[in-house]
Amino acid sequence: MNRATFDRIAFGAMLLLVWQAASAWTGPESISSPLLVAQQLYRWSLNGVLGTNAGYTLLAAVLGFGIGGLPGLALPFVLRKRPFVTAVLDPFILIGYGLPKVAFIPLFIIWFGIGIWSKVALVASVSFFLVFFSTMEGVREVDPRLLRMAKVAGASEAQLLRTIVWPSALPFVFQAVQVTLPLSIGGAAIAELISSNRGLGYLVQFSAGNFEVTGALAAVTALALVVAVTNVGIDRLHDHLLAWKGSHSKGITSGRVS
Amino acid sequence: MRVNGKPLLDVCNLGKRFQGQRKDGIRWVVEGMSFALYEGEFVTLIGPSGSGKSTLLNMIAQIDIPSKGEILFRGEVINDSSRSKPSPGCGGRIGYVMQDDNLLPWRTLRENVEYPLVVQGRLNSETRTRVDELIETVGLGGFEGYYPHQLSGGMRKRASIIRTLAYDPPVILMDEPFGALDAESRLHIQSDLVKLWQRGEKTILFVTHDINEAIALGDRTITLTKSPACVRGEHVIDIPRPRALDSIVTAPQFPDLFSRIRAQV
Amino acid sequence: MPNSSIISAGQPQPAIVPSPLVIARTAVAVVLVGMWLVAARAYPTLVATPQATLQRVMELISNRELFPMMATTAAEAGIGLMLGAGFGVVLPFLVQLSQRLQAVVEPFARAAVGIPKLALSPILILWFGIGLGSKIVLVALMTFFLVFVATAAGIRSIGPNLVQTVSIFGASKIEAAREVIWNSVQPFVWTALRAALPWAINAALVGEFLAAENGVGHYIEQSYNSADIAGVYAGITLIVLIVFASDAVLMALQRRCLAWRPVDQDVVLH
Repeated sequence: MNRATFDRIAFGAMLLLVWQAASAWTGPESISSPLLVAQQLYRWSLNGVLGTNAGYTLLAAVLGFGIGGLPGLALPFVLRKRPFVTAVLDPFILIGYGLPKVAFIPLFIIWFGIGIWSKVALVASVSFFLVFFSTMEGVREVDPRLLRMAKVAGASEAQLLRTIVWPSALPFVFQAVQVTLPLSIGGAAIAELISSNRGLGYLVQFSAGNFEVTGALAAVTALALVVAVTNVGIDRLHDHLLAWKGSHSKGITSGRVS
Repeated sequence: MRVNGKPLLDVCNLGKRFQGQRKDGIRWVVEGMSFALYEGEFVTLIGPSGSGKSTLLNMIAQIDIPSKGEILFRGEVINDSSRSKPSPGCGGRIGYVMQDDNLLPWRTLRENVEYPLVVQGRLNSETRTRVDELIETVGLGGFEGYYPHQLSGGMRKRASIIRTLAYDPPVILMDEPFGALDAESRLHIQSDLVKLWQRGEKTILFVTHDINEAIALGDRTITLTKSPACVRGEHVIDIPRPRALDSIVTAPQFPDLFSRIRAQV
Repeated sequence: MPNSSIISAGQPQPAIVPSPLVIARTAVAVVLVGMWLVAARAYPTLVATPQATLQRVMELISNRELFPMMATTAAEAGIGLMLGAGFGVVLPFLVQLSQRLQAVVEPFARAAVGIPKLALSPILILWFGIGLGSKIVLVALMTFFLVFVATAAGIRSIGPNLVQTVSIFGASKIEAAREVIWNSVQPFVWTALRAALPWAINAALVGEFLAAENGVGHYIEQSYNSADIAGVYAGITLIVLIVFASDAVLMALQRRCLAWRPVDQDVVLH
């Protein structure tokens, strides 16, 4: 293990120790402690609370990502040969992207109830725009020389899309997935905070509402872990699918903001 | 224009080595380099690429510390292997025009040229006038309020040169400053530089890989060996001034000088 | 938000006739409004008409409720942004003094960017109350990590050339830091601020939805609780206004501060 890794582990351990010590000083009710949170998570994993709620949040996230992401993915390919339509729709999509979807959460609840579909609606509305813009960029960045070469060889539009445009745009699509999927999980949780009876977000709100800081922090930790595992999974998938591009580089913020 | 007596800048047995990538890779880039620069001279330095010319200039400008040898300025040691903390620019006495123009992107042309004076606390009405004159001389009049990204490469180059000239260091090092310019801009700036040099009694050490340029500009040309670099030869350029820079090849002394220098490069 | 249109395909036309593009866009807008009106007619409890929304906004102006609620939300976002950005910009300078510290802290900061911090909202309300404080803390947290990571990246990206150049003129280490590092870092910081702004407003909203005494989000939540659909629509309209107005202001500020940058050069935070 090199020094940097050791330093990081030491730093993380130090933070946890400070927290633990602080909780001994102020009393565990107000800020909880690493031990209490870990114990709570352990209990929840055993009695199914963790599984059920994490599953609910993930389900909302995945459903929303699919319902919003798929049209966002498909539209740029359809629009590729229709620059006029693209230009017409451009300002509306930009406005749609700029609209603060969080402000619509109560409206989504009014429309779709407090069940899973209001969460799905929020996630879908966010996913659509993010995936759309990334895919659009990918479709635009296709090397025109490759397209010309294929057309000369007699490729139809469908063949062009499948064999040249899609593989070309794939890295951009993947970057969209890298950013949007974690965001979807966070988004589902946020919608659950506001109105839900299940999910990790609900767990946070419910615990906080009962002044159970431990439970609330445990739920947030669980959420962070789910996001982290998802990120690792996406990175693995990326390296596997896009091996021809060379190992992906983590950019400055690695694009995951919640 | 050799002044009798002591050199202004003296490079004595200078050496610089770098730790290579491999375990055995200690490479001497410069070794046993010695030459002298006298006040008021325009000396051109020429050598094959990769021959440590930039490293040499870095050491004179005190950005880098030598592994061996020393550098004297007016008889005083300003850089040797014992330094732990170099003082770049030798208190503003050694100017350095590098290959990249290195203008500060967030300052306008005028602010960039004035910047060294600001740092040295010498910006006043007199120096401001000087800056104005310099800007006019190199044909940048009217562009004072422009940001570097709005200027062409040639203009930025000229700006970086007058930036160093503005604060009047007695010695100016120049590292292939005209390399990135097209032929016409290069001729313009070369003649501007010679004009400014002749007006101001400066000492210039000018690195180039272009033999024509070395002969056209210099009083003296020093040729360097391949890495590890040291002085290979010195050639006095006896073409009288003022010189016709655009047709230097027609000067009677040119062919002989050229072939002598060419043989050593 | 993306800085440029997807494709700008304005066709040059003789002056009198509006271009096909403008006509088509107007048509789409009309269709969208038409759909809105139809939906409002069909589902009056789910959709408020444009007229009712506008009317409600006017009412809020006339009975003096509009300004305080917008000011509250804007203050939560604004103060939080400034706090978070303030610390986020300064701390990397301190951290980069030690190579070792830098290697340790940065991955933590980057990871913290990825944690869904909005989920902390109920806990912050528990700790800091239902007033503006808890919202400001949340916004500050979100902004801090974003700006910290961007500033750190900016500092790392600075090559030695400009610092050396400036040193040769005689600038001290501190002067060099002030001149070169501070200015070079600005584009990164501004990009992070532009990215943080929507999150700041989101954070303020979420806090207000959960528990608040005032603010536009609080108003939306109240309207929701009393099945006042026009109120919900009016509140959303106000938030949209805040979002677009504040982004325009931030963009204008950015343009002024970064006037020295070439226009097409953007700092990309992946």
